[in-house]
Amino acid sequence: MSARLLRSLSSLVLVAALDASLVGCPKTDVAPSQDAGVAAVSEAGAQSANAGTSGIDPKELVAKDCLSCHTDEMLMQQRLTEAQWTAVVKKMTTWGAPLDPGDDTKLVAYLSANYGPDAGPFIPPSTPASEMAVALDPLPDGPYAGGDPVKGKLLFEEKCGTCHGANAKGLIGVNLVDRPILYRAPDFARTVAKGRGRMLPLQITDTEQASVIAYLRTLH
Amino acid sequence: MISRLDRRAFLQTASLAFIASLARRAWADGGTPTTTAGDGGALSGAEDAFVRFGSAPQQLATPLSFMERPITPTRVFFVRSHFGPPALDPARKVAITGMVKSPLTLSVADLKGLPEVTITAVLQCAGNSRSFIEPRVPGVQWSHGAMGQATFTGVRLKDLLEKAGVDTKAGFVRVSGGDLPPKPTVPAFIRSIPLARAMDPTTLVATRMNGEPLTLAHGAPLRLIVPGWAGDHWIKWLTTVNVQKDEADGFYMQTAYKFPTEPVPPGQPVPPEKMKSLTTFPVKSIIGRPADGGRAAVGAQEIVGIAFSGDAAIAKVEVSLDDGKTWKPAALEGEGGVGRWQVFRYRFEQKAAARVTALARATDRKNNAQPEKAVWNPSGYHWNAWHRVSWEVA
Repeated sequence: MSARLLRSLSSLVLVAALDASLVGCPKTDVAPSQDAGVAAVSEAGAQSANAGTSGIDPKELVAKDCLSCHTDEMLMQQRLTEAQWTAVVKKMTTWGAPLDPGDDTKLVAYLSANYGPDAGPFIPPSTPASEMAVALDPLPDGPYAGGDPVKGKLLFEEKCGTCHGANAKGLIGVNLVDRPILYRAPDFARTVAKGRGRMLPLQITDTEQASVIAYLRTLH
Repeated sequence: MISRLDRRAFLQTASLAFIASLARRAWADGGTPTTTAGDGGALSGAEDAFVRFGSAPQQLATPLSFMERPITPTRVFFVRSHFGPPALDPARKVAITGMVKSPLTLSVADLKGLPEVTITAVLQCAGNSRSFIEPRVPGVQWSHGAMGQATFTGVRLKDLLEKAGVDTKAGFVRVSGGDLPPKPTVPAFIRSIPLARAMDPTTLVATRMNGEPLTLAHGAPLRLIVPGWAGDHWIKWLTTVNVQKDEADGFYMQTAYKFPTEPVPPGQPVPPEKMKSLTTFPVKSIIGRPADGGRAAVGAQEIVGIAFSGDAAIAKVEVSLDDGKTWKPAALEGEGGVGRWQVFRYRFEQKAAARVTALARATDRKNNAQPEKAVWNPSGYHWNAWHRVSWEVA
């Protein structure tokens, strides 16, 4: 499937969030010390990985093809050789990372340049435990209460199922069945409205959001 | 002794490069946030801190400063999962199924009436301390914070299996939880445990942790407890105990969570026939205080940490202040047991200003001793080398 087709498909697609805590860009709340170090390394790596190629920026590639299932810390903390990164990218592609043909070598080059054995220490940030605990807690439905699951099913099939799978258990997009984010309706709605990964922002009303949420809550 | 103020002043004034070079991983696990409100009775500083290796799914380490207590508070107890939790569902049930006479499906309420058991045990990720493995291997790059000790309350899995009536030809239970993979192309997280271990009286289906109902992050409503065994067996959001003749197929049983059957050259691939499934974790001790890279005043010094083994109770912990040439016994506190940690403590006088380096090593009652160097393995499991901490006495 071409990147262009995927991108146009993704305009019809719903949420890609695994968890509500993903919705805010995770890079905004890493420790300043870490941010500075990684940004410097990333820039150098991005340039070398980009040399002689055109098209998509490797960082965009990571955002589109990796960060629907896990946050970028999972990449930033690794210190792997090119051979190890090649194996990791191969495994992730087998597991469903939606890389376009040829993008695997580009991704491996970027990851090896930035997160190789000599990349320097990864310094994980300290983070308030109380914030981590509430990130999984249900939120009031607010304007997304009282949705109609029958209408939601139709909406899902029309706008979401192509990428999230007819049973909502994931395909190009991620599984949406039995997820905490279904009980954090404002986070769910924000992800739909903002887009994520390969999913572009989707313009739907609050009532439609409510119905899709109501439908997804019926699935097991 | 290093006061928190001393450490804060140090961390605030030291340059990043200095910290990075001197205290690379001490910061990671022992770092105390310097900006917290801390008033109004709210928890502050390290009392409310995780070391974050992943936001979603959450991969959160307990700060090393907690590794001097017999019990790790639930709020800072490390969190790790492959796919993140399913939605909170207090009515989620576990099915005892497969090679049994009468399959059972049980919720928390259905467990009432069975004998209740409380066990204090170490929960440790198989990959704890992975960032110390050289050459490096992929996985969550934990420092030493992917472990904690808690009390777990529930019923014996044995009681449930006996109620269901296990077929005499059965050999394993295949256990899994409600956490679906992000895509159907990602393998489901299913582990197998030999029937003998499943029938061990310490293997529990827990409903509570540290006296409170399990939180979602820790597996609510039902979690498997396998004291002495690595965390990959402690299935959260437990939904299935499938009694079968053989181990489960699939990535998480046949590829991941394997360890070489004999020492292998570091950095080299190991053929599958020379790998075996993880079971118990090896003997280990970790110094919780002083923090690596910290400072203390000349005079009385105290080293405090924890020690445990998956195979036996701890017999002794020793401390060396001369890079392993001589060792002195530390005092052990609390009750010992298989897969249970004890606090150790060692006091000495440092009369002159110096950089002090301490090593700790534990030995269990089966004479398994913590090695100077950990065994390299392709997935970076079971790191348990002597823990080294150094600090400036001035």
